[in-house]
Amino acid sequence: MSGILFLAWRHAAAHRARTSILIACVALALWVPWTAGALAGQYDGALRARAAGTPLIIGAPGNRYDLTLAALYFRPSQLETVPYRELERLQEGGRATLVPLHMRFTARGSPIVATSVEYVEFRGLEAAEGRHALRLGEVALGAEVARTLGLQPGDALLSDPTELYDISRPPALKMRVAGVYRPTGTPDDGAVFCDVRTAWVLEGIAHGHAPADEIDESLVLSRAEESVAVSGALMEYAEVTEENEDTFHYHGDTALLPLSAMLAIPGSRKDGTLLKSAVNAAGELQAVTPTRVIDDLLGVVFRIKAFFDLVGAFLLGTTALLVSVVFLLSSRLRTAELRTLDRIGAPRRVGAGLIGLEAVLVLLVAAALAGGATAATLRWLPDLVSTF
Amino acid sequence: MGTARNLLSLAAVIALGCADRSGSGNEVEGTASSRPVVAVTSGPAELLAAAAVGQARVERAAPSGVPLDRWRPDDGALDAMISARRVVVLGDEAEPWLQRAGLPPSRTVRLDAAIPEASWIEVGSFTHTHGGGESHTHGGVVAEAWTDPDLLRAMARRCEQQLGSVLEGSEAAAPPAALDARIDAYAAELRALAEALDGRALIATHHGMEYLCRWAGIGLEVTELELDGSGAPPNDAAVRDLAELAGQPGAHGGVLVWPGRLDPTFAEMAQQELGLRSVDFDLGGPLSDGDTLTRLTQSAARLRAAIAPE
Repeated sequence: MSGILFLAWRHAAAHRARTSILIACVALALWVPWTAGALAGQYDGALRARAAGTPLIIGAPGNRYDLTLAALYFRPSQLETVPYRELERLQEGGRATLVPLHMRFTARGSPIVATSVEYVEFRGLEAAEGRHALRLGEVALGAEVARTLGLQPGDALLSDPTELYDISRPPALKMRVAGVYRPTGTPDDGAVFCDVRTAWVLEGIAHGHAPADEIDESLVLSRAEESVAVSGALMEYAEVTEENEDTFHYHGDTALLPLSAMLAIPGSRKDGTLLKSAVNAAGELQAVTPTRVIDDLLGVVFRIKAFFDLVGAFLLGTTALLVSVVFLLSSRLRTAELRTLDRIGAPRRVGAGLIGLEAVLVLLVAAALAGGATAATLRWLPDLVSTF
Repeated sequence: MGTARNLLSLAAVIALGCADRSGSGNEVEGTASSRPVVAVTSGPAELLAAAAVGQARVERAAPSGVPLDRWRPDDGALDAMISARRVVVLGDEAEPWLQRAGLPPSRTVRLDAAIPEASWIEVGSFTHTHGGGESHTHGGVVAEAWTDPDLLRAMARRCEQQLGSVLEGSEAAAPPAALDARIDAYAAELRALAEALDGRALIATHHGMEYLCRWAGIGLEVTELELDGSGAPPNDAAVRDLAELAGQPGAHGGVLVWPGRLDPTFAEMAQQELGLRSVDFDLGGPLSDGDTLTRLTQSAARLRAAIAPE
């Protein structure tokens, strides 16, 4: 048997180019479906885990996929906002801990997730350096953002301006980095976290400026005993510092300040069910269970995957047929060699064994290569879930 | 073997499902029990939190004696507040730093939520606009709502309701506090003050007296002298108003009430030139050695004693 193996090996080695092409073809035909399957499994697991770790999402009525993807993965969306008083109202109900989320801005391309310390606790974010963003104008960075931008506590990060040529819009806010979180392997690594009040400064709803009685007279349009009309040219502070922090204030009713969504963490399954049904019955907001939304979404994705699985199967079948043809033709070319074996008294099955063994060798090497390539792909491909 | 393992798993699931969750409430997992119970930054919050859960479970996150509108929490104070099971605060009007600090909304008890919208007193609002934007108002709402006995009771009810679930199973409930009786005593003192004034108005240097005067039916004239202790001269217009008010004998109680910091130099001048005796009145806002209700009641008694007989 070792003699046949030696002969098969020597033949494969002697026809290096043919063997290499065969191995490459088979490896490629195996790598594509294996990688797709492994990626899909990984993706599926990670998506479901993030969704399963989030009991309820509450937001304005509209597209539930948008709401879920925005709240879980900070995907940009055109969600209607929810007034802050809704969070207070639901919190008063006592069925759940409500976590505010505001995600309409970015800083150097990364989403700014304006929330509260409950989010940090809920997701188990731990500061690797510094601390959470607790003050106006402070941010704490996800591990990936800190690594990519090379930032650490004490550095500054500018928000991305929303309307570059509209001077009536608030300017970019220079935010202080208060801390950096440890890597979590989730979308949190790619986000910039701040308190929800900082988002309201970015919105222009809260701002800071010199006291009205200290404003340059050239900027005052009119001044009465109880009112001062100020020119739009009045510069608002573009950074919250220790010196100007006290001048930052809101306009209007704070209960109406906008949120993108809320995470609800119910005390029990029953509380969650009651809260969800109460919210949906009232109709002013919608409450969604992320696992169901993600299941629906993945249902569509995996129907498409089934098609690609079929394509992969065809690819494998076609490759197998081509490889068979190659070996068949090869056996014709080896007629003289097989006849010699026959003449020196080798059993008849040795010829078939020789070709079969060579085919097995090719398959084994191709499978090993495809396995390695799949592992390397999974290792080096960017984490699709964290950048979903 | 497999069946036994399945049975064990099932038993564990049932046991977990039946476990009493009342202690943890809706807290984010694994964080409640190790926290201090209640953190406070003001006198009224301390008073009401202590009445709800017991003084021993109330932790001060702010220093004593610092005016509420001037204090700003440092990192240590913020840490103390976010790590407590509940933070009891008065609201943005009384504690402006709340607009700029990220307290956990689910664990923050805002006492101003107990005050009906119509009960707030608004004075001297200052409105301005920015270019084409909407006009808006800074300040204008008097913050010292706790000085009204009825509003203080409403705040106490909210505080008790909100802190009701904060104690865990093994922690004994707070001994019943005689808060209602003490508020009654304060209210009686305010009535006595109104009787002593007998229709005459009080002159004060700050709007903080508004709520208690409204409750007791006492007329109030406020002359905001804006003396901050820096040696800067007082507001000229307020001084003129004060002189005019002082010159109407029988219309006021002969005292100048200082709800904020009493300026000895001006007090001396008011006594000699205007015939007004200065009396300081502790509104009980900042944390201090005595509790808010004691300070309010004592201040009202001191003021009543200082009222000139008609």
